[in-house]
Amino acid sequence: MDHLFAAVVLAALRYWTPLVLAAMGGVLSERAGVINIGLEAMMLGGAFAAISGAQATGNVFLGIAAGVLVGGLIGLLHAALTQALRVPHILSGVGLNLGALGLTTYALRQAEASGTALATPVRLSPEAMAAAAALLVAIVWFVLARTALGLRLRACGENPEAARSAGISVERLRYGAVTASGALAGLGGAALALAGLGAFTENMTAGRGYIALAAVIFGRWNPLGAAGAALFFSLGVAGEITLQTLGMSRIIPPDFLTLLPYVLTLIALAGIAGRSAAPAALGRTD
Amino acid sequence: MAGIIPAMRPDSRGATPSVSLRGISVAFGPVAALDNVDLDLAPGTRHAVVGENGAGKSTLMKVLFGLLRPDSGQVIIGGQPLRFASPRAAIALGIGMVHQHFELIPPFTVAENVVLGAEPGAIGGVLDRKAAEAAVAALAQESGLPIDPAARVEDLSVAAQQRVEILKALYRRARVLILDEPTAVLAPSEARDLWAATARLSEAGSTVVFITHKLDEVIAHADTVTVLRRGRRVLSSPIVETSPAKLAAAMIGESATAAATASRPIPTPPSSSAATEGKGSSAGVLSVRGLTVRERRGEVVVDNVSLDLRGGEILGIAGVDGSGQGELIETLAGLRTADKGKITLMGQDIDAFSVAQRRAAGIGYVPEDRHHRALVLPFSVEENVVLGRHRERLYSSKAGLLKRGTITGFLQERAAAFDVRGATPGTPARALSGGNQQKLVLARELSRKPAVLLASQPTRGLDFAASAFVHDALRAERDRGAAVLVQSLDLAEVLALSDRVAVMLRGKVVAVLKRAEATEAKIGALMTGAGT
Repeated sequence: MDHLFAAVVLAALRYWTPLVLAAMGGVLSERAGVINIGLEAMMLGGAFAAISGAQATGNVFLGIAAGVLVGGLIGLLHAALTQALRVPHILSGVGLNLGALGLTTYALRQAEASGTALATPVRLSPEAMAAAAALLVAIVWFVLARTALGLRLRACGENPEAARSAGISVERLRYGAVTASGALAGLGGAALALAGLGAFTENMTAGRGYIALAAVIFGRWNPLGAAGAALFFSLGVAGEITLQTLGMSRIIPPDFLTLLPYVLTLIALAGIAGRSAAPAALGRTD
Repeated sequence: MAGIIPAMRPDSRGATPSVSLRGISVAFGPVAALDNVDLDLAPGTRHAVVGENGAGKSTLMKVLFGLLRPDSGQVIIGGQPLRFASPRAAIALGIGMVHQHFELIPPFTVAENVVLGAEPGAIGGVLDRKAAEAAVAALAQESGLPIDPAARVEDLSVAAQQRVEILKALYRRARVLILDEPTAVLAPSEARDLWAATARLSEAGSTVVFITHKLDEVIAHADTVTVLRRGRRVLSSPIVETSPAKLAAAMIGESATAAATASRPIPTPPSSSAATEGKGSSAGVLSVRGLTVRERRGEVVVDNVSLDLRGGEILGIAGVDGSGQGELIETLAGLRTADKGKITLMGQDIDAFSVAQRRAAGIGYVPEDRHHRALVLPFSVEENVVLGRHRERLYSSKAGLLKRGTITGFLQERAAAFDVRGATPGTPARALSGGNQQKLVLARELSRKPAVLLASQPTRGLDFAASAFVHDALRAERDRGAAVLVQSLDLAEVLALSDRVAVMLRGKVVAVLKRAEATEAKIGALMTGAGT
């Protein structure tokens, strides 16, 4: 039984790492006032770049760097679309998600057609990656809650006019926050690809960006809360996988088991009444 | 990032600079908001800028604070022409502005709001809360603006929030302080405290420039005054050389003076209260019993309120901002759900009624926020005037198609009756002036001859003439026999309109007075909880 418990926890941590990294990105972006449903694109782009980078260089750290870079660039694009062009945040995010899915799938097909798989033998230790993610949670919390930079960032999310009249360059801070958000989600994608399969597959994030955003809301836009929410969901997934391997799928249809973590999240989200914890200016484009 | 705190340099706390605006012109599209305006502010003085709505007062102040770049003209501060218009440049030169709508961050503490953007220590470093709170406490002490630096701004009264705004400017070493209608939201005693603080500031050598509508404030608290009318400067004078009559004449123009003062909303006891008291049959149109309303966070905003509204009377609600008067009216209109209590309209229990059902049952509603609650700005005037009645068979067919012709006819009839200028069919409501928008709202709300009319701050942001029109319309409703409930933050307005005055404080109705008993001093004391 102890062995089983340890297996569930380890599986949960593996699932948690990419999720919580994207969720930290979500917290940064949304506390600055920019809705980031594009986390999915940033994760997927990060995963793709991480595998390609590691494959090309044979170096896992260069792979990670490529993932962070591409995630950050997609974040920068989201910032430009929402801040400079005033595109509604959801629209920009969904557009990025569709674009990233299309581009990575196309590139994957091209590679397969030419007879090469997007795969690399280099691997990242899942335990080390989970520890790094935990450290990043602490850093994001500290920056937001304890530094002058964090105060300014939160001011941009609550009342950008007030921030502006205090001499703060709201757009510049948001560019920074959303780019950092993309870099974190890109790192999440890199962790997903390099600590797991070691290969890029079509739509390999499979909605994790959306789940990360749900964790942000469930965690009431607090980094620690979002990390806890991501852990809750990860335990659900790990429990489901364990139930499958224990042969429960002979009693309960496997599709229902797969639903389990999502249903848990829905129930948890429904239990959070109102949106009173959301940054007051979240998503405004005026 | 590090470069945005120039005002924190210790050497920048120099003498107060002189300020000159020369030939400032600003146009919004074809409309000239400011036309060749000059303004001079001598160090250590208090200067009032007065004028009607739309005269260009706020626009002029925005130019001075760098929020607006003038089309022509110069801003000269301390002898140096200001080249780049931005609040940052203005702040660096020692100019601070307190906007009419505060720019505070409610969940942040007082100290966080004050130091935001100019925090002690490095930007990437740890925010030293203790140092920030100590600095704010010292500044509050020094400037006579009492505040708790650790309190959350959302928990503060409006007057305290205003003090936070002033401290924000002073923390950035402002020596020229711009106050945009500073007393509009204050009770009389709070206004006295504010004026005392501005007197101390000017004695210490700072310049204070304030916008106001209230001429008694100008006479009592300014050294010099500038009057704007339709974007032009029509008068600049030391206070000792002017008088309220001269200022009023300059504000509204010589020819219009007689007409405007005749219909100006000044406190006069309602004329027809004696006559309406005779209508005994119309007693108790709307009865409210033990009404309690909670905000989403659970805070009680309307606390066990009981009121009786009779036909043929205007019941005015006085109170400082945030006393629950707005929430009370929204609850009666059906926009908020009561926690407890009973609302009865002409003997019918309407607690469970939706907004539409309440309107059908005879409630008319003039909301506080014209732009969001009363009108759909991008919609045409005819769509707005029929809004809420559009389902009536008169205006739409069984199939749900609007009868355009009938609606246009309805608009023309209503616009003529309420003197809504510029309301030609097809014009978006956005294109009307504030006064005409409010007339359009009244035209719609009164078209059903409501038994009860609810009005929240019905003349907010309107000029004299439009305010007088709205007041006359409310009185006409009263004389028709309707029960009228009006809440306003402007005590003079409440006194001018009401047959009875209810005073609200922290969600409770603390007193209901007959008009004859309701003196400004008495109500002012009740509003602030200073006594009976």
